[in-house]
Amino acid sequence: MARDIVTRPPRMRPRVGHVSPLAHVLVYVLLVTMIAVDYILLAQALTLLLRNDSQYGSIGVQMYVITLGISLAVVTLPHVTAILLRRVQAGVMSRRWIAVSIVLALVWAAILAAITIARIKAGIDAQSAGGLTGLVGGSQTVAPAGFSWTAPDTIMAFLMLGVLVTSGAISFVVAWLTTRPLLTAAEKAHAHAARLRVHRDRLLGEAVAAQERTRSALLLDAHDVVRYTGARVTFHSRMDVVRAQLATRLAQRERDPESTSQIIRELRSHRIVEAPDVVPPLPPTAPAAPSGGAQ
Amino acid sequence: MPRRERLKDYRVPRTGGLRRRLLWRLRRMRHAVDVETLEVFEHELAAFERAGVADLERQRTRNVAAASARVAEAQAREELIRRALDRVETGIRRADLDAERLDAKLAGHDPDFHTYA
Repeated sequence: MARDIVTRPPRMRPRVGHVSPLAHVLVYVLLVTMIAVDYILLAQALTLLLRNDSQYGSIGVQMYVITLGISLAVVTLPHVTAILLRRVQAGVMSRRWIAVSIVLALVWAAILAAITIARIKAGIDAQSAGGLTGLVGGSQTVAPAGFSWTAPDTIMAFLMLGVLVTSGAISFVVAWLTTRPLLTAAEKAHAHAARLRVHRDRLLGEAVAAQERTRSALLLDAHDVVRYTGARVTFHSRMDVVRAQLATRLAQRERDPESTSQIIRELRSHRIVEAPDVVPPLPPTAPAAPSGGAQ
Repeated sequence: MPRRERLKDYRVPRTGGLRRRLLWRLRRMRHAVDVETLEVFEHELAAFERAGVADLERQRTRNVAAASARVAEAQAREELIRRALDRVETGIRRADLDAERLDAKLAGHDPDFHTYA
């Protein structure tokens, strides 16, 4: 059975050329989640990086601000780059903005490289210093360890780099996917208008069908009135037949012709008197008179 | 029109039983037909006629109820369709407006982005 387009209209996007509000909210939720992940990761890393100072508690708000700034930059820069590229692609912005987006990408890469290198360097320093400098009695095995790929701090640094790069790439892809090209949006808008027109035509067809149904229902009622009148006429004529048979039988059986005619006259007068008020008023079509020549 | 959608037919009350009863009673009291007996007969006839008319009235009322329900349903649907048409007209106007705006953007003169580019 076809879907009833009146009670359940097809779902259509209310606006064209815009991301739906739900998608918008979801994009920002995703970005904020990425920023939070980066913040937690960088907070750990920077605490390790500055462990010699953080054990004295000398870096309070500064570290939080730096951490937040870096995590914001890691997520936001690819987003802005993607939006710039999209606008350049759609012709909204001039081509010179490509240079700006390239610079932003380079800044992003530089931040990531700096973080990674600092993390590796901190690992090397900590290893060569032999633990926390503030602790007395630490084993003073000074091994001038250089850079090593398999050092735990190096591995951790690259893992962190991977997470940061992933979050940046996700924000880039999200921005690239949600900012559709303008041409697609225009095509979608035209398709949307065309679909709305088709829907309107089908609704017009449905309106004609509904009018037809109303008219047929009214017609059915009119026909029913006619049939009702016919049934009334039939019933009254049957009653007349019964009366006539009764009168005939009385006339046959009765010895006295005067009395018989009296009886017959009485029956007939009863019927004629009674008939008009038995017939109820009918709706507009004229009621048939059952009293006349039905006999 | 399919049979299911038609209103129910009228069933005219049958008078055979009444006639048989009256004739049988007449035959039984053949020798005592007087005005009182006639009154009784007439009363019975009138009662039967009234009952039959009431039966027909009942059927008519039932059919009227069915037909008016059908009419009301069809008119409600018409009203629904009219409202949906209004909404679709509004939607078409808005969609055309959107399409025009996007086309203008594509053509390069967009009021929204002049400040950026």
